[in-house]
Amino acid sequence: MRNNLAEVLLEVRNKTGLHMRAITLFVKQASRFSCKVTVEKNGEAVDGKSITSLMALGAEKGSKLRIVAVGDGAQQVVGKLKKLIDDKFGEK
Amino acid sequence: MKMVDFLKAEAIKVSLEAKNKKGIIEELLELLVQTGKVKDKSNVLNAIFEREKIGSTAIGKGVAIPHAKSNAVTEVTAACGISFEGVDFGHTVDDEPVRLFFLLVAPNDAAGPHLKALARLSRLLHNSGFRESLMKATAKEELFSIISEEDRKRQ
Repeated sequence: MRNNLAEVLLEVRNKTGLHMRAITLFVKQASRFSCKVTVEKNGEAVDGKSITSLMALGAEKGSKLRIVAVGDGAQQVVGKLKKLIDDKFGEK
Repeated sequence: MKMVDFLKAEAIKVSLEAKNKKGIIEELLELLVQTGKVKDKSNVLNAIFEREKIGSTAIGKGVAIPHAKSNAVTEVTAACGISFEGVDFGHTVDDEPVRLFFLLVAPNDAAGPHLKALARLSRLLHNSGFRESLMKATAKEELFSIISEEDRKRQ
C-alpha cells in the first residue's frame, strides 16, 4: 500500500502564481494518472484534476501547497507535479 | 474580491451575435470600450489573441474565460456574454461548444488582483446551478442580479 500513497509540501515559486496556463499544465499532467490527486491550500482541499477548483484557490507566488495522491502511480504523479511547480511551469 | 467589484451590468450582453471565437472576443471587448474601461481596443485585442495562441481559455462545461494583461486598463475589469448557439473556442477538456464567456483584463503590474479575480470567477462558476441559471438569463439586469446574489451567498 505504501507505494499507492504520496504527498509533498511545496511553495509556488513562479512570479504570477497558479494562473490558468500553469493550472492547465498541472491538470493535464495529473490527468495522465488514474489515481486521485488533491491539492490543499490553507486547509482547503480540492480536486487536482479540475481547472476551476484549482483556479478558485487563487494560489499566488509564495503560497504553500500540499499535494496528495492516492492510487496507482501516486509516487510518479506527485514527482511530476512537484517538478512542474519547482520549474516554475517553464516561466523565467 | 467580489465579482461585482470588477463586472458591471453595462458590460453584460445576453445575446452575443458573433459566430466564431474571434468575433466573440471582439464583441465582448467592445462592451468594455463602450463603458469606458478600455481606451485602446486594438492593444487589448492583440494581448487576448496572443494569450489564446498559447492555449484556449475554454475551461469546459460550456465556459471560457479569455483574458490578458494590458496597460490599456487601470484596474481589473470584466465583460460577460452568452451565445445562444455556442461557439467552438478551440480545444477544451470536454469539447463542448462554449456558451458562457467572461472576458477579463488586468493592468500589466496587477498579477495579484488578476489572479484573485480569476479565483473568484472560478469559485462561483464551479457551482453547476449557478452556471445554468446564468446561461438561461434573458436580460443583462437579470444576469447581473444572479451574479450579485451568488456573490452575497458565497464567501
